[in-house]
Amino acid sequence: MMSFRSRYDDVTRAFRQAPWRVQTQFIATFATIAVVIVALGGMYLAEASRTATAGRDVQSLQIQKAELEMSINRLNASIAQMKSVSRLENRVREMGFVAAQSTQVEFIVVDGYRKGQGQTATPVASAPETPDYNETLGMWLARTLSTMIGLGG
Amino acid sequence: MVDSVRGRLRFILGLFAVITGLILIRLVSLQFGSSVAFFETQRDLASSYRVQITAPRGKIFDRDGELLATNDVQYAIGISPDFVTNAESVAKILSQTLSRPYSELYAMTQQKSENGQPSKYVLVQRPVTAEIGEKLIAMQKDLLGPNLAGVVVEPMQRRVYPGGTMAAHTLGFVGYDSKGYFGVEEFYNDVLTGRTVTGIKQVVPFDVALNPNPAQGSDLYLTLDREIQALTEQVLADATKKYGAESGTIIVMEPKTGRILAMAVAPSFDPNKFVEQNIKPNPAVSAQFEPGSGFKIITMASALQSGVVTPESKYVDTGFIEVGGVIIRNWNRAAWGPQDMTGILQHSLNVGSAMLAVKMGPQKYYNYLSAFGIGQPTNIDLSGEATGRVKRPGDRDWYESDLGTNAFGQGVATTPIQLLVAASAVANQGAMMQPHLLEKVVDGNSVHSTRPQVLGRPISPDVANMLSNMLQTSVERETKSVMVNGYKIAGKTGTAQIPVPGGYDKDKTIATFIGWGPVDDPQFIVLVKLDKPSTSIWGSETAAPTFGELAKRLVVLMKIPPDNVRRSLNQGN
Repeated sequence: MMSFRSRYDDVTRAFRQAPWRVQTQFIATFATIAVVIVALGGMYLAEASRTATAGRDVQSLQIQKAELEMSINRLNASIAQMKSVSRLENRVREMGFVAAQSTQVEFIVVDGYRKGQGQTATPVASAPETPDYNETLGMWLARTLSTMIGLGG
Repeated sequence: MVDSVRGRLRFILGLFAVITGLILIRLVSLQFGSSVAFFETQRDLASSYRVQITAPRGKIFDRDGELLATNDVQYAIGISPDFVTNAESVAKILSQTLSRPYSELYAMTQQKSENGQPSKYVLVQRPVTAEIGEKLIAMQKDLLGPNLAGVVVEPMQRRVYPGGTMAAHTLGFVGYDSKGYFGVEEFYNDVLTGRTVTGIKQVVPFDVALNPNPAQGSDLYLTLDREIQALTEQVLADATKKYGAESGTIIVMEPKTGRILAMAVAPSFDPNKFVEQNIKPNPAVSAQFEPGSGFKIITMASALQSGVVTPESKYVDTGFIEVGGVIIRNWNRAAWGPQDMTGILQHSLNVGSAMLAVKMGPQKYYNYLSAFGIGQPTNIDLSGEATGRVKRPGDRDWYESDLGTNAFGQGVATTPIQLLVAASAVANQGAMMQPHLLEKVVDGNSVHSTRPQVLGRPISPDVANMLSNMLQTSVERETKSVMVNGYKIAGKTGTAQIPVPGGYDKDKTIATFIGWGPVDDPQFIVLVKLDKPSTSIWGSETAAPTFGELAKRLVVLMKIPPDNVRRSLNQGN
């Protein structure tokens, strides 16, 4: 029966006779560490790049929002100026209209009409609001599993 | 030999070890030492900066939702001489873009501060249009474009009044400091102003956060009607021209609610160009004047309410009356003989009015003036309202004769809005309504509406109706120029003398007319005031026809049916 001491000696001898085994072990360890570092670095880089892209997107959207707000304001001001009374008056005058005088206006009495009797539009009942995401993790798991095993509709 | 090489190698290794150690020590000291705060500040300065974000000012609409004031963007152009690297290029481009002399702009690029160093900032032009501002920004961004280093193009919010001069005195304007001045802009400045917050803008995309979103100013909906305002301004402009008046004011109000439908002032100004103009407060609320004969409405209302006379009461007009040692005469210095109370209004008799005040006595008469709000601000929602002035017994400058002269509107100061509100009590069954311009405030999704409020009830509905009918009769008999076919109109002319040191101006007057209609269901009450008309000094020949011209078109714009149609409609109901 071989003792622990003699087995240890055998292994030590074997490594001494074939030094490439030590190198292989070292390279394997180094490679494993390198792969882990590269993987971690890659993940970090990917995440950092996504964050930077999102940050740039936010910056660009904020600039776009400010530009749109400025543009909306300018358009509103421009519409209001085009709708100004003086401009509209000139336009209707050009089109041949004249201001009505009190003697030119004819009021008609409509039997049964009561002042202020107009119909009031009632708002259309809207569907109750539901959240955009209403699936719980359990529901998602159940749905995914049922799809995988072919139970899903 | 080998030992020598080993020794050198050890030395070099040792040297590298020492250098590496020193670098490590320095790195540790930089990372954790006393300079940390300095480097953090430098990092923050490079990667972020503070910005003030101001939410837009609320817009102003008329009662139909037509825009009266809104916001736009303009730019301020400046130069930082410190950063100018090509002065010729900067001066040339700015000269071409702003149409300003090259030499002037070149001098700006060379401007130095008191200590001899280049100035930090020189304002070139403010405001410039968005087109010009954006053109310069585009040139700055263009890498192949002209060298504009040192040119500062800053966006600035600009208030825009699409109607130009329309309702300018009522709206006011917003200065470069974003504060409202005059009118609604000043009175509701706190409501209109958007909040300003300080945010930190991050340059590094990793640290970017959403901009703070400060609450924007609330939108105001006024009681003004854009169409009526434009009509009123047109009528006023025509009248000042036709009658050679120096200036004028017209106010149109709903007597039942106190809503101001129009407030026209001539000459007006363009709030879009507030820098270039000499802007004065709104005379409709700030100008104090002696109202003249229009004030007889108040005197007669007080006399009827106090019971000292009835509409049928008679007196003999001898052409003069002595009050407190002063002889008061009629406007034409004539005696008008037997007159009833309608006659006093119809012929605008000073003697009759003074007689009424004397009959009431000072205590009662001045109490009525207080009840009508004379000498007190109406608290209309406009900045700069004056109080007017009534001298009372006990005041050092009150004399007994004032009782007689006050009765026909002399020696008492009112503002146009004060006089209109007082007269509106007669039009509106004895109730004076709080005059106001704000219809509602829209703040995001919430709406706060104003409700009409009674300011006072100086006379009873019976007295108001009696006096309305008397004024209608007097207009039909004496002032036909105010009548509108198919509508009953009540009102009173006024020709007020202008006080000057040592007496009254002999040639110049203030012509007024206060009128309302339809008499049995008043929808509008109007005050016309023309300052120093040159074609005639009389209100009956200037202000009254102006009222008539306005009323004729007002009934169409306000869709008021003629009296007979309205009655048949009411009977149908």
